[in-house]
Amino acid sequence: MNDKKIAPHDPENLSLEKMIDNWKDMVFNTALSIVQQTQDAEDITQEVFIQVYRQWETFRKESAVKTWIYRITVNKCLDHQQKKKRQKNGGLLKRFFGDHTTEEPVEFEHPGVLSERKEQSQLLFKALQKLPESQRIIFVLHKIEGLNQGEIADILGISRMAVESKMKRAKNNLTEKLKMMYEKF
Amino acid sequence: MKNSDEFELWADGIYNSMNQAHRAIPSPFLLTRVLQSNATKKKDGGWEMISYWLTKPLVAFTILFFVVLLNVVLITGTGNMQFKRSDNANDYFTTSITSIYDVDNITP
Repeated sequence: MNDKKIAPHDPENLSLEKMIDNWKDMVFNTALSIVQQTQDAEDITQEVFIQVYRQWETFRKESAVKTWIYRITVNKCLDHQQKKKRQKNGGLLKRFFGDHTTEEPVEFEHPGVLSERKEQSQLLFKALQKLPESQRIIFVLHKIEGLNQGEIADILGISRMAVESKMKRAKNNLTEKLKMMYEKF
Repeated sequence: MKNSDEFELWADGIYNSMNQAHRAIPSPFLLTRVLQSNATKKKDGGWEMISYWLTKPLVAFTILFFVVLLNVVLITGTGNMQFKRSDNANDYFTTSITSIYDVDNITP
């Protein structure tokens, strides 16, 4: 993954415009890879920057700014997923009471992927959808955002060992899902 | 064996499909959207904060547990209280029953 360099800045005096300019791609790409819907990822990006802007003065600088922003992004994505689940449950109730319109999962195509790998990446994201949230997030941060285990551990507030084991489980689960897809071909 | 090799090759291709990919870029006017949203979105008030905490499963279940516990305590406790109350009522009637006759009827 090509990493856009974060411009050096004065953290004490940073405008919203500069914040967005520095981190918009990072936040949007992470959100998009997790939620796999452009509109939702844009909404999450927007919410992340509002929170960053409002909490900038109270940010204790115990961790790097990048880590803090990643943490907010991940939390917003989790909130979004919870909200979606609640809506889905509401949908189930609706269907039970007569509304029989079903929601089909949309095939996601990451806009930054190389054209010759588009089909493969579609399958990857399809399999990723079926992973538990925590494993999906770790996979996205590691494989798509290119973060190392230490950085992921800081973002999620867990140990490196936990990151490592979750990463292994994510890979195993992903292989299983891919095996099922392969058998269908 | 061949089948499994084929699968591994296929899965590796999928697993590495995001290598060398670029970051997705949000649509333009993100700054405008954020500024507009920041201006219109008011900060959460007290009630919003209360509802936020109450809807957390851990808090909700703890409160529910205490409500149930309070009910159990009240139900088991009222048996004794009723007994005492009836005792008190008996005391009241036994002591005050004579006082009824103390009141003189002054109407002819």
